Amino acid sequence: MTLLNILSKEPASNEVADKKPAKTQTRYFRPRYQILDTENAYSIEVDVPGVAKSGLEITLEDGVLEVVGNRSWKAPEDWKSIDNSYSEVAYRLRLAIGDSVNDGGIEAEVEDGVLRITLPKVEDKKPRKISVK
Amino acid sequence: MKYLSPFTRRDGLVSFSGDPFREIEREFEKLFGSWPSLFESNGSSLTFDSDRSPVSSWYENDDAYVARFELPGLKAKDIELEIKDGTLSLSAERKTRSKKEKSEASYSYRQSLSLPDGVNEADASASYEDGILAVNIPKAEKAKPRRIAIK
Repeated sequence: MTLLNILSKEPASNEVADKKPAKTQTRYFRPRYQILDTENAYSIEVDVPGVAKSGLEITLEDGVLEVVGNRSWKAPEDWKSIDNSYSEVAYRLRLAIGDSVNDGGIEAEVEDGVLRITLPKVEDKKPRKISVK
Repeated sequence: MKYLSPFTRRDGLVSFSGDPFREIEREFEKLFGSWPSLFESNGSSLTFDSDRSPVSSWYENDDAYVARFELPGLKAKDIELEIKDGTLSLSAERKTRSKKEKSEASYSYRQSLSLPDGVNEADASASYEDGILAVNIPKAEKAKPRRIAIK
């Protein structure tokens, strides 16, 4: 059998993040993400391909936002993996958001493998114009 | 002046050097103020690579090869997939919001792969869900494993 020749394949772009203690055996990728800073809110877009709504856990504790995305698909047992990708690994992203965000107003939605989290700014962190007399 | 400008080096006066990581670092610093130890500062950006090969994983079962491409943020109609003469070509364009409000950025995914011998190109099929494109390429009859009975 000819092995699949994967042309122009770049190394996995996500590094494997730290492991949890041995008992759970869960490994995580840190997903790609970007942060958009608008006047009233921060908007975080996280790439979580393979994760459905039910696979997402988002928590905010002590000023740290944690996103865990578990994939909804697993290869059937009789399928053989023919490359060494990390594609079945869960995602985890931790971001310190401190006290600049209005906790109660955080919203999240996921569509086509992209998670969008909107974090409204607290009033006194919004930019303020100071007029010059 | 010293007390008024503790963060100037990080946040204010350094001009954008064209290095995406520098810019995104600055974004984090604006957002997270003085907690650098919690920055995931080598987190990557969605927008800066222009032509990127999607991360893919490949499987083989008795009947087919299956490729799963990670293509978040697309619609099925925006993905072009072609199999011809033993080569699978994939291209797609993704639009993302850019850092400037109300403007859009985009980049494309592009990849060409050589398929193994003994596949049935005509019966390949694909589906897109949750940002994953799954491509199923059946094996030709002669390439399937065959059990040989021992008499």
